[in-house]
Amino acid sequence: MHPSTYTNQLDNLSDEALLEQFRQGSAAAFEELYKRFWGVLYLQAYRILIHEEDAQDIVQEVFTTLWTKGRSIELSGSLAAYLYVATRNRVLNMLASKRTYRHHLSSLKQSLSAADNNSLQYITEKEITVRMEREINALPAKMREVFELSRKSALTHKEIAHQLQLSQETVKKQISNAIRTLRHKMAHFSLFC
Amino acid sequence: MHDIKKLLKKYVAGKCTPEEQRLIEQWYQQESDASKADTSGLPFEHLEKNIWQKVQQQTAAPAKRVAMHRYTLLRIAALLLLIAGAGTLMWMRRPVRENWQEVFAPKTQSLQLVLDDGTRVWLNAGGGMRYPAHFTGADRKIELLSGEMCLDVKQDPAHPFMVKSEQINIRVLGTVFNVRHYPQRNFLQVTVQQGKVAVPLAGKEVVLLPDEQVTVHTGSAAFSKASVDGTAINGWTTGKFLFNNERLDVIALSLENRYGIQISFADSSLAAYRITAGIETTDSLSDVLDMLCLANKLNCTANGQHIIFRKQIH
Repeated sequence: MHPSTYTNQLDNLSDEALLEQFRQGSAAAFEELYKRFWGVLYLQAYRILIHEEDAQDIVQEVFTTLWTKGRSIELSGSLAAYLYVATRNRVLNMLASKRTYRHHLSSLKQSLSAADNNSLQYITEKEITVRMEREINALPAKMREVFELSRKSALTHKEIAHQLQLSQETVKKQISNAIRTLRHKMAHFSLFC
Repeated sequence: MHDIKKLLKKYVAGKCTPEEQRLIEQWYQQESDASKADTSGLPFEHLEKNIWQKVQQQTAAPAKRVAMHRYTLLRIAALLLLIAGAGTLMWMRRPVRENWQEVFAPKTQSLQLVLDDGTRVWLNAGGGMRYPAHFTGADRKIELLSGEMCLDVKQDPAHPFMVKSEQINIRVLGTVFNVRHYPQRNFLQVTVQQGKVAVPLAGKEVVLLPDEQVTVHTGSAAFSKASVDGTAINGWTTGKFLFNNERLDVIALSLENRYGIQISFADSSLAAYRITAGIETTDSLSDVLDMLCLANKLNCTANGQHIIFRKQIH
């Protein structure tokens, strides 16, 4: 077992880069996206629906759609935000179409009548990101680790580089080294050994 | 209540007014924040597998999982499985190339793939290849665009395996072998570790057996055959560079790709120096350079990412 032969470079890629790889035909990139996001999306759906099977169906639909429409998706922001919104739409759709969720509808009705339209803001991508982070914190430790590593290595190179006044390349290298070191301490990462 | 349903449907269809949209989204967040759901006991591992399986069933081309069997090469710590399915390819822009995919190993890292037929490919850092997501037709053909690859070809006599590189079609007869193609140096080299391959050169087929190597100058089609250590040449797939009486310019290419550097020679005769050395891919660049220089009476100076080799002046 040799550290240097560790070559799964997918988890060093940003979400958007993975999407691009997937568009070019990489099924492995799709699987990596699934690993990254299924958990947070599941939690998001589950929090509203409190129903394991329905939450499962929704996550499954989101990824099935990502697979079939991956080519034509035009991201206006981050892929994370896109997936959040896709999940939200499906959850809302489910609320509208299943009798079991009637109490949700009455709650919504109340909100609508009580709302003060002027105080309402659009939900920004930043807020969505914050929510995603919150969901990540609710994941079991192991899953969270994978997720956080991947995000830290993928999303914030620019920021870190900027803060430390280093080149992005340097930062990327250091982070991937850190990940690799950590990975070797975690046996469960070696897929087939 | 009916109105609310309609409103939600309208929202999902993207036909709400901005106010309605904000209201609904706001409510969704509040619901989520106020949720009484206890997520701590959810069977995450089971769910992950379960949903993934369903996604696989739903999508046209399930990505196969490759069961590992005993294979002759050392185990690799982690794999990049690129098992492509036809469904993935529906969006390829050029329908002619519909079934083909390209993959490039990043600078400084090799990657590994398993092809549709179970053939294993190691693509060394900086290399590029094209391969079909599915092998259709009488033979299995892939293409090495540039760089170095090692193949562990799945036996299937009914479907000969071919590697195309430059204009040369290497015919494989169930084997572990290595192809290097460095277009910038007109250099193409095939080395066999196990089994047998046939390389059509100068109008006839040159057959290579284990530990045999053919080096082709693609500019002039001149080639030469040599006996080498076929296992050593694929050392990089297990984290070792084993250079066995190897030309320095070829070694330089390996190092360039491994460390993301540029190497040049102050004296052009250095390119043809023959060197034997073994390094670990984890060794630091400075260690490797020190070792090469010390053992072979060379001097090297670094200028950022650019390394220049010189002969030692006595």
